[in-house]
Amino acid sequence: MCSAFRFSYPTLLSAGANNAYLWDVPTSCLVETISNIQAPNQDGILKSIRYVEVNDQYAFFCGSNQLRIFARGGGALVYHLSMKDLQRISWDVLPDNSDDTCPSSLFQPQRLHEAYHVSSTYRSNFVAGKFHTLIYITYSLCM
Amino acid sequence: MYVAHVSSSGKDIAVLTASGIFIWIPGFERLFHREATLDDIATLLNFNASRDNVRDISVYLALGELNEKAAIATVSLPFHRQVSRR
Repeated sequence: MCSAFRFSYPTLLSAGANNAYLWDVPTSCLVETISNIQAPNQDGILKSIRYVEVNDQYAFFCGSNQLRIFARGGGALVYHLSMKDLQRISWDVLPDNSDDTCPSSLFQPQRLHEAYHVSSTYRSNFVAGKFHTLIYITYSLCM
Repeated sequence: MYVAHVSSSGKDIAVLTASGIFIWIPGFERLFHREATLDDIATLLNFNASRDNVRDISVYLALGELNEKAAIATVSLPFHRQVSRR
């Protein structure tokens, strides 16, 4: 049963509960199988797979517990990222409540708030230099 | 983790957790070649207004073809709106 799939030409990656399959779509050939993607490590297992990504070198698996990166051409697990690795959050993105009015109700300015004490000048330049554009869309869910 | 996208260059990845943490890792191969640590190279942005009562808010992540554009969609639950007005 397929948990998630991703088509990035020419490769189709489909992930089952514990194995993943890479297909070369133009030739309709199964070119690689990555087995035992749920193998436990020091941070547990992937758990339920929510999304997968692939390029010519790696296959990426987003589980509810971890992100795992496997190398293509052998299926070695080369990296994993778990929630405990994300404790050092540098920035909170929150609505800008300054007095400046926004000309459009569709767009609400956001402001970066330092989550912990870090060098403000350095970190601001660091973040700004990473992206030309960061679009953030949120919508309210009425319950 | 909710979603991950690799850049068209193959060098960078963007990750969004279900709870609204966005992680940008340029040159991610340096992590498993032990040339850098996550703290050295990753940028973490938290889009969740509450850290004390974390709920799943993420909806969508897109990464632009030119690699320096990202779009993030989340829901804003009533609880989060109340917190943001304090």
